[in-house]
Amino acid sequence: MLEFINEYIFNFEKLNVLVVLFFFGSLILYFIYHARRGKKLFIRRIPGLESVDEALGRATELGKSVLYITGIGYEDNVQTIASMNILGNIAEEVAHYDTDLIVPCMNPIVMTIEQELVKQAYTRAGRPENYKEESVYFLASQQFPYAAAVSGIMVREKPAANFFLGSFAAESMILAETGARTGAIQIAGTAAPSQLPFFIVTCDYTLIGEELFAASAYMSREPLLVGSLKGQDIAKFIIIILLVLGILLVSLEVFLPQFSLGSLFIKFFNV
Amino acid sequence: MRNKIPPIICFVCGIVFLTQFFVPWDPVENDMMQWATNSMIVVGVFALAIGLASLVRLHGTKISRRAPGWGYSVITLVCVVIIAIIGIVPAKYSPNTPPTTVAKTDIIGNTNLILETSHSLFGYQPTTEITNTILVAGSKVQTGTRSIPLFDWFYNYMLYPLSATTFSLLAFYMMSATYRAVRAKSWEAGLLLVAAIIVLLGQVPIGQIPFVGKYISCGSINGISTFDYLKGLILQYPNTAAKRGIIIGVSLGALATSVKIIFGIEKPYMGGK
Repeated sequence: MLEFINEYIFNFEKLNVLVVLFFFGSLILYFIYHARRGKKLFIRRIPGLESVDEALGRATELGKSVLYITGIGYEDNVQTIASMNILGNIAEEVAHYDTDLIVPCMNPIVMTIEQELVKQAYTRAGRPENYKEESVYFLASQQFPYAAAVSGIMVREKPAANFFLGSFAAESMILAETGARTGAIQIAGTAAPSQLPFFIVTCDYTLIGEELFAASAYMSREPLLVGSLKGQDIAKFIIIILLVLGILLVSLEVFLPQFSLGSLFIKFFNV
Repeated sequence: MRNKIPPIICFVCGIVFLTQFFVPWDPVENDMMQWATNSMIVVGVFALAIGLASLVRLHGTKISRRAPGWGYSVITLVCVVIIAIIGIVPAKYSPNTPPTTVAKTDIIGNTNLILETSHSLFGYQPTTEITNTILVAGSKVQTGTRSIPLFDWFYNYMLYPLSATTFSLLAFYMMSATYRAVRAKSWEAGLLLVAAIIVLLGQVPIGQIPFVGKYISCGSINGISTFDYLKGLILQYPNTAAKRGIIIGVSLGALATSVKIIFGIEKPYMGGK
């Protein structure tokens, strides 16, 4: 019976993934539920997101545009999805300030979603008539032609604020360095560890890793989204405890080989 | 109703594909995934038409308004038309100019087969001809010719080198960014500078450092040159630890975003909120 289940219904080798997924997923849902009941939750300050208003204010004062890049990821990339959520909030603020927004896209599906997002944001801001369909457009479907074209936009249009939030690869440096030379205030964020150093050295503020996913909740301050953020922070705290526990158990096994808890611990988390 | 159906579809698809990961049955584990991938390709093809429409509208408006840089828009649209026509025209109708020069001759292994690659336009013929020739009693006998489609020629000899050129600019961008990064304005920047110098020196096979007209020996640790050893320490321990910390945070962030999307708390596909 067990063999049949293992072969057709549930792969027992992935049991640990299910347990961890279920545990952390439930934790996040629990905090969302708490937030729904009106409980006030504290979230730590993220400097990169605090500076969004400063960047948009500067663009408005100078009468220049705001450039928003969601990266080269497709619509199924979780970083692109996180970036789209931030775009909604930024577009709403841009609509309030009556500043121009430029969103060049690398993928037509992403472009279609972003057009809808920006349109809805303008409507929420009470300025639907100010929405221009040509502000969100398709540029190029390949990485380097896209990078070259965006660099051209930065040099020609000289936006006052550049946002690079989403999935990036080798083009990150080309984009961010060109933006830095135009003198724009730059806020970047990605979950790719290999691209983070490039953004850190060329941008004014960088959202590192999970801060990208926290951004929409942080900016909107919507209780339900803040709840998920709190759940994320608690999950991280639990992971730190597990890491310390793992180090202790494995170290104990080195000195006292008869205690095999360290090996069991490692085996459980092996995927 | 218009607002209710998309979140329901999203929830059902989210749960189905979450379950799919744990089910080892072949039709679920592989076929279903393949079906989903194929569906995305089909949607992508339709989306390409939308992208093309957006591109034509944007550049068309620029040209009609004579906006600054409208000449570039003309070039873009002309290139779009040319590449679309070339892509649609079947390979057999591609121009097949007779080869004027034999650019490359390869003898395949120990056989008497000769592979000749001929080009004529700017050193490269649009339809590069690859001819299979057999040596029979010292003379060549042609057995077959294969033409490479014109679309491939444009991709290999125009788009690819242009992309490579843009990519190679990265080295210069890196240098200017490094200059900005290594100015030790704070102790963290100083730490970064020291680590960067050690890693850079570790990357080259350096044994001695020239210093005021003399050479100072760098020595070795455990049989490895000092800088190489220190580079290994930096990359293996503090760097890996920081990277793993970021990856754990990112995974939790991705999980939280997925939960919010599946349960309809965040709906970017419906314009946000």
